[in-house]
Amino acid sequence: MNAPQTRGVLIVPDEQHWAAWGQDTTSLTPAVSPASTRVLLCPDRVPEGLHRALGRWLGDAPAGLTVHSPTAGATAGPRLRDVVARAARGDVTPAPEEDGHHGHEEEHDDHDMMAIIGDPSADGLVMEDIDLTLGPLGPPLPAGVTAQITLDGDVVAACRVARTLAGVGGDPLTPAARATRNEQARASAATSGPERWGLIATVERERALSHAAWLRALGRLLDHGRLVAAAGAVIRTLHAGTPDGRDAVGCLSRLVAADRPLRRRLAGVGTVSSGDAAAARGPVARACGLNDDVRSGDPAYAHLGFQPVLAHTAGDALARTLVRAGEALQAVVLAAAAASAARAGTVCPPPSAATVEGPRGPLGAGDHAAAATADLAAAAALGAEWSAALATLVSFDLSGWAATA
Amino acid sequence: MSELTPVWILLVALAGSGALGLLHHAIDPRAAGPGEMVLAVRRAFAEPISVPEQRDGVLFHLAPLLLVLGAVGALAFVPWSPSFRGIDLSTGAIAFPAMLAYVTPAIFMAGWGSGRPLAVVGAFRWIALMLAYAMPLAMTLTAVAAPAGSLRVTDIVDVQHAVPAALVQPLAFALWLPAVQAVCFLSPFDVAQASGELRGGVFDEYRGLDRALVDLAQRILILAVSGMTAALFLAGWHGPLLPGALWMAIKTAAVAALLLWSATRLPRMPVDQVVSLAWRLANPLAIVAIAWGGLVTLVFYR
Repeated sequence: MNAPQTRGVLIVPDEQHWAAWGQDTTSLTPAVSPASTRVLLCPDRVPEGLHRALGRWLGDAPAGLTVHSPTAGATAGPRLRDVVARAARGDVTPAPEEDGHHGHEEEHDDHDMMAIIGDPSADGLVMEDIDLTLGPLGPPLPAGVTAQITLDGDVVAACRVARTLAGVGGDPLTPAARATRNEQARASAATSGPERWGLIATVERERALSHAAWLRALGRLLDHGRLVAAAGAVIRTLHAGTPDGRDAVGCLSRLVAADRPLRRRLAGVGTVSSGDAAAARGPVARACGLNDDVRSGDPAYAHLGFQPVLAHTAGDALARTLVRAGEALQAVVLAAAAASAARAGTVCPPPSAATVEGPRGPLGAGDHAAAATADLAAAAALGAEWSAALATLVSFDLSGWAATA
Repeated sequence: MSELTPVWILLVALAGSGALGLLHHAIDPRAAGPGEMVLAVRRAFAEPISVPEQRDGVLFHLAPLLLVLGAVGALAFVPWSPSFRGIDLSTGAIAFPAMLAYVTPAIFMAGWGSGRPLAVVGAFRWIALMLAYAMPLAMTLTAVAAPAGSLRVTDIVDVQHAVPAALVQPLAFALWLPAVQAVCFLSPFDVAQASGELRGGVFDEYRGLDRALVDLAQRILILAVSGMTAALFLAGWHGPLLPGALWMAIKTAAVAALLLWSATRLPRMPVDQVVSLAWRLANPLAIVAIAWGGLVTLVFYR
């Protein structure tokens, strides 16, 4: 096999490279000795024709060989893990799918269900993998977020979340979030004076709007009609500029807190520990009991009687939902209090930090927190049943973009 | 007593599904109203039949037909009145779920034939769901048939002339309702076509006439299970003052309204919970329901 190689590493290019080089892969053999190789870098789908040579080579490979198999674009060819497993048994004959049976999408007309081979799942069954990509435009993930998921049966075997708009510097697809960012800039610039109360009120209403929009998306995912309707009512109320949205938001918050099916659905799903959540910010961190809220140190918010919502600390999807529902209600109360303070002409103290707590965490905190949240979501979805995995991914309220400082 | 001809059964199916559409719209304004239903029928014939890129064409197009066949077949066993009844087999109470059983392969064929990964996941979910709920369905039938000492549906209706089975055997009734709701793939048991999770699941690829047949089959299924519920548990055509057929229609409409209302109100359950509920709760309770049915029969009907 005339593959590019470095000392101790065998690199197997993918199907596209072999085709570009015009190489017939069926006549190739690895030029590097198995004994001197420590690492094998091979596509997840072994290029056609190489499985025999690679299988024989793996049969002579040392026990400590490290195998990396990045997922390439190819959907054809046997899976590397199957080749490795067969080589471990001294078997280099082609697996049934090497004859052209690559999965359900391609070849299920004459597919023999009894011929499925591979590593057993956690439940002991051997299932075909199903590769799926969610996003970047389409529910249930927000715009700009993609999730590449491999299902083993209906259990998530691999999950990778990517934020395709990271670095764009603003969200071209979400006017509400862009408005929040504008408000952040303005609020940071306004160090004191009655006008800051107005800006705080605007930011808080924006927070309530964001959380309500997220709850509506969750309701749609779960086909929870009442949640969708209640969250929609909040969105309409806040969009209409109603001075006090407490009734609508209170109704939504009570529904979330009291709805048993919703609780059963989300409790224990996508749990993250407070240690893992340390890199994330906003409601995700607060749902793990971390007192992470920029508003806690802001004298203006202290004047309004602000206390972070830390009543739900289980770190699961339910806790994140309850935190956001609680914060939505708190946000409209704070907005009303700020508006009252502005009308009363109360002097607004300057902010202690030049940043604002946004719906997903501090605005201007950079890309790190958003990336950490995406990684956290991917890790939490791993091993979950499909519907639980989707609820997990959605519960993190991922952002496809990053607001840079 | 005359039995319904196949033509009459088809007429009942079409008229009943239209009436169910109106009932559904009354319960849930988001459902299609009369005008939208007419438009949907026109659109069904105007739209080209979907041909997904990756699918098993035979299974894909056969599934809606099998679904309709199973639904109409089940409807054929519903007795609407002593003189206007379906196929009155001596084993009608068993033949009814036997016809419903065709729904299971039909929906699996739809998911598998679509060739989309999520549709296949939906198809396997459906198999898991039906394996779990088929037994409570059959066992509760045994319980309600015991007082009549017969599996003929008209005999089971007649034995309820004094007291409906739903009052005598409330546990069987409570187990029967979710089971038939699952057969009709209504929420909270719509795990196979879950719009949020599976993007439409097993039926996502269906367009035009295929889609219309799926919708029609679901309505006929609701009509069939509602009618059979009225017959088996609510004393069928027995009732004071009004004609028997009218009583049967009222009871059928009430059951259908209950099914549709609960489908509107109850959010979809996760597949693991809904299957676990059947195996761990509904199936053991169904055995209790059979025992209770036997005891009631010995004490009050012998």
